[in-house]
Amino acid sequence: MSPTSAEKKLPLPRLERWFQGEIVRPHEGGRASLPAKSAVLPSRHLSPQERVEIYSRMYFARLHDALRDDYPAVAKLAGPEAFGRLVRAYLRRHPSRHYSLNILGRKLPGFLDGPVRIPRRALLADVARVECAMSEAFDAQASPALTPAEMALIPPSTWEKGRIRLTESLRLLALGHRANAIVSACRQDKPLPPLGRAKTWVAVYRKEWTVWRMDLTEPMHAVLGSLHHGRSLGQALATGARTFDGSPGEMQAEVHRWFRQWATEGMFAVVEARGRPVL
Amino acid sequence: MTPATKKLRFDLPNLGFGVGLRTVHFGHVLEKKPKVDWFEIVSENFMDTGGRPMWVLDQVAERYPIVLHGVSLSIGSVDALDFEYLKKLDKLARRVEAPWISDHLCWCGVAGRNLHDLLPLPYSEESLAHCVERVKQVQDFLGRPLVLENPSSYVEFKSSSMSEWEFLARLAEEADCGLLLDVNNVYVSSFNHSFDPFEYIDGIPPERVVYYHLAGHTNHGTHILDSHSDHAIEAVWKLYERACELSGGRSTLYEWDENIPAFAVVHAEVLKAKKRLEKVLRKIPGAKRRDVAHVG
Repeated sequence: MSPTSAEKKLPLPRLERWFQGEIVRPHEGGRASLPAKSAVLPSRHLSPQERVEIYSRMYFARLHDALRDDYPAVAKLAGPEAFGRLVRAYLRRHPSRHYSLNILGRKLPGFLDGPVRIPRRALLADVARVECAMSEAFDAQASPALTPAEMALIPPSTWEKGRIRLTESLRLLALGHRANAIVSACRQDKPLPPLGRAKTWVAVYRKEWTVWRMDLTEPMHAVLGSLHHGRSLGQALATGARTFDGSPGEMQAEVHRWFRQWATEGMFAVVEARGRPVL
Repeated sequence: MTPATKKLRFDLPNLGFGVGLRTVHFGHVLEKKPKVDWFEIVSENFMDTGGRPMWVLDQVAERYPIVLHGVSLSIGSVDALDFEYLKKLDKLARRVEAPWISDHLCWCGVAGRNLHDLLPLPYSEESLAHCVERVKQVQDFLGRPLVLENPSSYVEFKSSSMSEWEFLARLAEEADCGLLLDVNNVYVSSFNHSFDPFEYIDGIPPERVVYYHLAGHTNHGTHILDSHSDHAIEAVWKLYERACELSGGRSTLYEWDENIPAFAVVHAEVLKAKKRLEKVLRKIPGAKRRDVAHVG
């Protein structure tokens, strides 16, 4: 049977829209606008539809695997079937519009905050937040990191009103589950910690080209969070003090310990006073 | 058959025998500094990162030539060209002093979407005019010739009016661009679409071929997938030899992207290409041994 002239001359824009639609349709739903035989030739072994399905299978496998690579703990907790359904639902809502696959999954935590139907949705959302922060920290632009010795050179008069800019890679998370410990257990094939609700705080950052995670207390998270939002050191410490369970003297001792630790981990990029870098 | 080696249309170097730089080999390449002639990177993997990949790349680029090979230019898409993407591509090329930039004759999506695949075009006058115009725009923007690769494909469109090799030859001539001849892709598509792969190789103007790709594939019986997951089969090597007979040899790269083995295995595979080229050049009167130099 020879094709009609209309079939032969499917214009390029229409052909591309049709072919793309056929590739995503098995995963996103919808009706075929044209049967595959209208636009595609059969091969020795495969019908036009079977040939199009090769692309459709590869499309889903490629994007599924990219998300699984970025979210191994989410995939493990969800299980293969539920994770596959999650990926389909996510791609329907957030199809890739960027040239890089690396950012395909960046909206998954927010997507899991929405009305998606999957067991342990809130837990998965928190775990996804940690894994997303790891991807972002991995790709973040390089920024300078002040050492503890450099921090020690800052004049005491600067500290109260000074501002500390944090490194580009640092991500601060406040979570409703033990998501950091769960990510570690999943990635290391170890027994899972309790999956129930528990308030936790985590810093995700890059040091010497490797991504690290540090458990924080609530006051630590509050101090770093304030600095991240551009507050002065004095304001940040005041924010941290609101949730600190101890005396001002104990808080002061803790703050010294925290800052040494954070500086050792390279979390501070620049210290500024009156809008100018001190270091 | 009379071999007729053709000089490359563009003033680009013969880099020798290279390997696709992959994350699993970063440590080996930095530590062992293997005697490979050059590396090719997937451009998009380095365009938006300030992390370890870029740190590694900067070090590798100090020691080896780096060619940029993209997968998202989407030259055949009816969507507008992405000039933000091209700016980043240009910046990366300058950073590593890439001798050339390549991508694929394909489209990746339409209506703003990216399916992250190398989707086939219909080989029609309409597609040709569309691609010629866009290649010219890209070359004007980058200020250098673009090098386009023949993709593996699994469908043929009824609206095609010419063969893929005729399309590529005309595109290269009319847009004045270079070609990356992926010999494995020729074999894969010849199986999937039942054409003679030697006719394809013979139909590609050798003076336009900047470099060759070699890879392994997966035969599913009813079709072959371009999986880059294995050693190249003998039929692919024969096609490579024929291509070298016509060109006299060009830069050659081996790609391995699934089940990636130790670096030495991938490197050994591209060194087979050197031996194949030497064999071909022995048969060509006047061919110079220095054409296969570089690899230690």
